[in-house]
Amino acid sequence: MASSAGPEIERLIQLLSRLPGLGPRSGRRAALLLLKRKDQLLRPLAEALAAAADRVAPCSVCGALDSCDPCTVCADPGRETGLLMVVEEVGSLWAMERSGVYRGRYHVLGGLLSALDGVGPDALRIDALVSRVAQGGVREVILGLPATVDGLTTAHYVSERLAAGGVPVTSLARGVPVGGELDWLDDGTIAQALRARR
Amino acid sequence: MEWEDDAYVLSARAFGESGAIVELLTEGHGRHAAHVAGGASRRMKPVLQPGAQVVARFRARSSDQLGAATLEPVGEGPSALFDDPLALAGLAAAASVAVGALPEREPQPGVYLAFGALVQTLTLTDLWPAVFVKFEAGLLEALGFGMDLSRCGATGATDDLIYVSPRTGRAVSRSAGEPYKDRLLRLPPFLLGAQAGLQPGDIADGFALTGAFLQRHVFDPLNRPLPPARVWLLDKLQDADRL
Repeated sequence: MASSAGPEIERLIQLLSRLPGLGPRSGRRAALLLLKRKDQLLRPLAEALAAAADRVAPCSVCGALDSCDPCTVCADPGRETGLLMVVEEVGSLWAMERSGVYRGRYHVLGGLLSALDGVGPDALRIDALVSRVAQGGVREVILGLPATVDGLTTAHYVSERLAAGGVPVTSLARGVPVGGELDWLDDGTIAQALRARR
Repeated sequence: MEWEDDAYVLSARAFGESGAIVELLTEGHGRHAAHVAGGASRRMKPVLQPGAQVVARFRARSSDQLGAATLEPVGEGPSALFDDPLALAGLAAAASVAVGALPEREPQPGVYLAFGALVQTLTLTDLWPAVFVKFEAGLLEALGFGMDLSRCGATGATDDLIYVSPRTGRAVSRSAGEPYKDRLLRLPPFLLGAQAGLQPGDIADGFALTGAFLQRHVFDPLNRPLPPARVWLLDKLQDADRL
């Protein structure tokens, strides 16, 4: 495509286009907005990006992303130290934090076991989880993993690895979501909900 | 080209931000890949699990294109297996073997039916490992590498068949195989007839038998090992004392 802008602008558009939700056209619009509002948006964004690139790293305890190590959640004395939730990725942790209902700590696995894709236990932070639980102080491990074949395979594997430690392992419930109408649910969710009725 | 067919999802991987590339095992069109728009959506994710049964509507401008599909779920899918780690391992292994072994776009209605029977059986804890072995034996047959278990390859005898020659894939009777028993593969009775009960070691013998032929005829020519999911399944069955 013929370029009508300088290489710096083209580079900016190219990079913005790679962001989730943006394509070449919306990347161009975002670049134009940033360039028009240099002081209010472009410079603060550039500084924020540089700071994030310099300072944000995985927490050495739980694997979450933060600018301090241990991360804010791990270092928070107000958290329940006895509760440990195992999640697939940082996005799951953020979703749980957004809900505000959980006050324990986390362990981010960094993915899921996948026999089909050849992702084995060594590729995930499962050994770190087992060591963490073995150190003591955890009274319940909650598996906050997706209700998919890979998610449940991982959940079973983690449960087996933790079984020797004697710490109870629980899983998030599966079934009808809040506001969910049965008419719109898939058969698998309805069947799971029926099996887990109480 | 455009068609509608019953299918099982074998695998799915994210494509772009919201789509997925899905491998299907269809009844009339064999193993078939397609792009599913919105495959990463909340509505479609439960459908794109290995073992989920769907009605697939496929459309492509020409036969050399990947093509796009819409999928309509049929039944509960694999969620009935979620509480059984061995069954989940069996499902992943069956899908892996099918993905790795079947050529694309070659109709294999028998393999489709056998895969469906296996998926349905995975809830029956004591039964499915034998069905898995039969699925693999049927897969070999569909690919042209079937074993001849009807009579002894050496003597023509039809009874007391307890070995299979790894070279010819033909059954061998006890008496004819005795001098070579260390080199022959053991033939579990359940592969000879539905009435034969399972004895300890039969499942392991069955997996060793089909594994040897899958390796030699299917995966070695592709320069690939047997799927890791199958190896993992055998480890789990061993750990659970089910082999």
